[in-house]
Amino acid sequence: MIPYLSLITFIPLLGAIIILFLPNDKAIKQFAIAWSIIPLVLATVAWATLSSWAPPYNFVYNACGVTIDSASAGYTFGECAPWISTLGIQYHLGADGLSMPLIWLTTLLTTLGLFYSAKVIQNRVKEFFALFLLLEVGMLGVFVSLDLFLFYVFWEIGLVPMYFLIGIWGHDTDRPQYAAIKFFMYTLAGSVFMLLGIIALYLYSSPNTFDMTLLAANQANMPFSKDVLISSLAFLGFFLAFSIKMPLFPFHTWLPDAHTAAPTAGSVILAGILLKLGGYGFFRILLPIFPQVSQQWAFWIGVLAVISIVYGALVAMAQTDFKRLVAYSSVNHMGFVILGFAAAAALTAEQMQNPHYINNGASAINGAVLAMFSHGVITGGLFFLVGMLYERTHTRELALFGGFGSQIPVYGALLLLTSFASLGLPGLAGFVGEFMVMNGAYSTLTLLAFIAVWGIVFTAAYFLWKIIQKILLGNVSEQWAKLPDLKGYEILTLAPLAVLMFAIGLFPNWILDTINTASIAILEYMKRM
Amino acid sequence: MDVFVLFYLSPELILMGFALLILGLDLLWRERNAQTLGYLALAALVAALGMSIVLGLRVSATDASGLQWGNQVALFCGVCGGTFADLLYWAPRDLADALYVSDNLTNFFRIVGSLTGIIVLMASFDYMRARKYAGEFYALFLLAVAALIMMAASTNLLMIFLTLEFLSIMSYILTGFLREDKRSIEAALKYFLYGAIASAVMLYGMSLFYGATGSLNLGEIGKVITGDTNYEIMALFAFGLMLAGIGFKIALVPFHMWAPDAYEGAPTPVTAFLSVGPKVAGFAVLLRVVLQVIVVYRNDWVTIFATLAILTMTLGNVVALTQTNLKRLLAYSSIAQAGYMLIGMASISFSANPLEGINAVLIYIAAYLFTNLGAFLVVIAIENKTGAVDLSQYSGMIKRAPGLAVLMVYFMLSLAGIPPTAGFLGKFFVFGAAINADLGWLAAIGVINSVISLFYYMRVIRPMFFEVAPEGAAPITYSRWIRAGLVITSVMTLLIMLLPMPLFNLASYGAQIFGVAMR
Repeated sequence: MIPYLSLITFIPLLGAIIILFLPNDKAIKQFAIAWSIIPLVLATVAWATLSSWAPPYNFVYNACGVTIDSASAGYTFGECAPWISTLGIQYHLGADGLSMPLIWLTTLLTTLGLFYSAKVIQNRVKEFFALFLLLEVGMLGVFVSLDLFLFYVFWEIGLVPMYFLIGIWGHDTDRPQYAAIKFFMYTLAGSVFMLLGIIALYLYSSPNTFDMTLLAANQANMPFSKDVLISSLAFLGFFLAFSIKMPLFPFHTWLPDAHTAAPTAGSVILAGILLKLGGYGFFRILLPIFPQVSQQWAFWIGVLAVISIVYGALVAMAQTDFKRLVAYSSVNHMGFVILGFAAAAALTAEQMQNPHYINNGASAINGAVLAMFSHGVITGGLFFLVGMLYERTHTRELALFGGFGSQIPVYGALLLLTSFASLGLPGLAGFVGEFMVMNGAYSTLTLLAFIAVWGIVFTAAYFLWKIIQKILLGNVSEQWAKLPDLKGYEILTLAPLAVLMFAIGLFPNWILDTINTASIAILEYMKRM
Repeated sequence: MDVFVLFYLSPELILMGFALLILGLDLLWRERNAQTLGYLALAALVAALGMSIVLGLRVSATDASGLQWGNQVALFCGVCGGTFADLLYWAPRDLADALYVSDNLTNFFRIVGSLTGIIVLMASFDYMRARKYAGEFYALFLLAVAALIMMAASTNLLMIFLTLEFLSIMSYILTGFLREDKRSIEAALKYFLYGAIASAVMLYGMSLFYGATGSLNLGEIGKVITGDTNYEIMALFAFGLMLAGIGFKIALVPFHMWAPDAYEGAPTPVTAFLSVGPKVAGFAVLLRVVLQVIVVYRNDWVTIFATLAILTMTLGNVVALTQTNLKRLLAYSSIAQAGYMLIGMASISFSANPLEGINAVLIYIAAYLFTNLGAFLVVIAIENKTGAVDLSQYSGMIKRAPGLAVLMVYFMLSLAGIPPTAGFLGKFFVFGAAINADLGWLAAIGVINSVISLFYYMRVIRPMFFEVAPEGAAPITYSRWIRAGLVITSVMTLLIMLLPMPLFNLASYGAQIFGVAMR
């Protein structure tokens, strides 16, 4: 069997090393783009293979001494090698319906980011492209790891290239060095507590293991789940890491600085993928391994999620800087993902026996994961659009813009499409996931769902008022009279994302079917609490 | 005593013999063949490393698999002599009256010590070429490495004191080696004054042990103290006094005051040695004293080490935040690093789980050795060419010396404990051991400290990558010896993370001598 996941993860690393030996900038750029297509193709093939196994399965997952009937867990592409045998740490990779879409999105956005950067990055090209591929390794590694130790290693690897991307290629006016170290320290502060949580899980599991699949499958019989203090503290460690990464209010303060200071492709990856690492952790680790603690804290996590939704929307509305606005919109949208988590986590043991609630739980998880995917597509697109406008005007002040809808119509159309997708217009990508989250939250967290609806109104408000009205409508000022419209490579960068926005909005089933296999497995684990 | 026993002293004998040889040749050749003397010293260290590995291997009498790691030989004692054949085979015996032992722990520190020596020596070739008295430097340096190893092998208070003084005196001389440089002289004097007081205090603690138990031998003192709880206050008081001397070598807060000045003033290769050698030897003595003498009062020493760990980490990290001289910054960083090792000391719980304190300390030491020496190699390479040791002079290093800049990032990440580096693995074991010993709160303080430390480690990186080099700054070249040192340190920093099992095994054999059986 082809080791798809190892290839997808480490081919970019090989690319980064090769880049160090390439002679000139042009060769580096062409090579990096071409090279990044390999993992994209592999990921596509892998996803297609996974979909072709769509229910009913006749496949049993068997790797690293873990055998799971895939009717209850959709893991596949398992790979296993011994690593630190004395601690039972293994090189254990695997993917399922939760990670596969995110793996694919990572490879797609990396290719698009490299393609766009090839045109706009002119200084220190070699470092940029090598770091970008290194960043991809870290992100993919997180999604494919099924061993907590390995997961942590990849989790941290991604921080370093991002630190340099922000610090070196950030715009001088945005204090890039400050934003870079702030990003690094905030994320590290969260993840070191996750490390303690990982060690605690290992020490309080029996037999001692770092294997996520084993921890999830046997959590009900593990010593940690019987010790409220240990499981709560370990949960807290993971929760801190994931909610800083997401970011969840009140841990979001690194985000506007980092997203604003980063170069365009860096912002795309930050918003598109790095935030999802946190969301992925919520569903991969917190929900299956800590169902009881999740259940206890579900309401309060839901409260934080709703605050993120409303607060994110209101703060976004107050921004005068285009890029900062988009950055805050991520806080707003990620709130829905956490709300989906909280809605599923809130299911009690009795409700778990009721198909109605199980359906709502599945809807919440499916919706949250789909919302993560769509947010990656949409906000990735938005950051590209911000960058394209900045390249032309060298400013991001919303007050200076106006009338671009008629001045640069192609740009206007794409901005309009992406904004509508982001504010949740039915028929476009943003709507499906958030609707399903609300649907799931309605039955378990009714009050919070009710408040969150108002968040949607504010979201619509800032997109319509701040972006569409300020940028596209009104009169063109003198200074923008000669503004050129989008060039071919820019349209080519945005086209795949635009297609995806329609594809998810109109026919969500091709992706939901994949996600659903994982959601069912997660709910199955939760039932055992 | 069988003369073959000297075989078990071969690494130390090689080092001291070559030191004398170099001194003699230096006398004959004057300043002429200084480089040859350097190569001789390197040969001595490589031979010592080889012998350390040979000594560690044992021919197993019972095990058909042949060569295995682990042997234990007591030297210079009344009852444990035996013949060469006896010694060659694994024969657990009562080491209580030994003065000096060649056991798994000694062998671990022999390997660590000679590796430190080899790397520092590679770093000092260029540095000494431009300076006088190179021959003496090499001889003194070999003696310092020998002293370090002997300190780790001592199991008797008198022997500990002598070897510790031996190492101290070598360190004072090496620190003040730049006789024309006022700062070097000042550093040496400061180091000496603090050191003399610390030694005196330690000697007083030793005298208490002797007065109370009538023995200088760690094992026998331990037996007496273990047998009678009335000794608790005395033992802890005496241990506290001894801690002043050992803590001074390790640069624990509050015995760290000498370190920043000595590190700044000393010749940079010597600074590199000081940041690893004495520290490591100090931990060897600490392990032996704690686990052989006062092991029964576990609650007390856990409290002592936990407190010292918090003080040492926090002070080291917080003060490092504002340093701009790289040697001073690394001095405070190495103070903080010792704090993490102390977490490992506090976490010794004799658990069968691999996340055990002794293991953690030893693994951390190995990881720290390669990482910290690697960082110093970068500093030395840049200083040799430009004379710069201040962060402000590091701007645009990525253009002037891309290799050095990238490696510096790697070493700084390792010191901060970000994977995939040896430093991460060390921290993983240390924090794991702490949680395993029910000291989760201590681990939490440790990780908060490692987040703080990231800030100043990245401050080192910032000018190198984010700022532009001054006009006309030339690329930095460095000799093949420094390159070789950089290859060793960086490859080992990566390998310890990727393939940690050999190091883990080495460390757990070391832990075995204290009766800790790892599964």
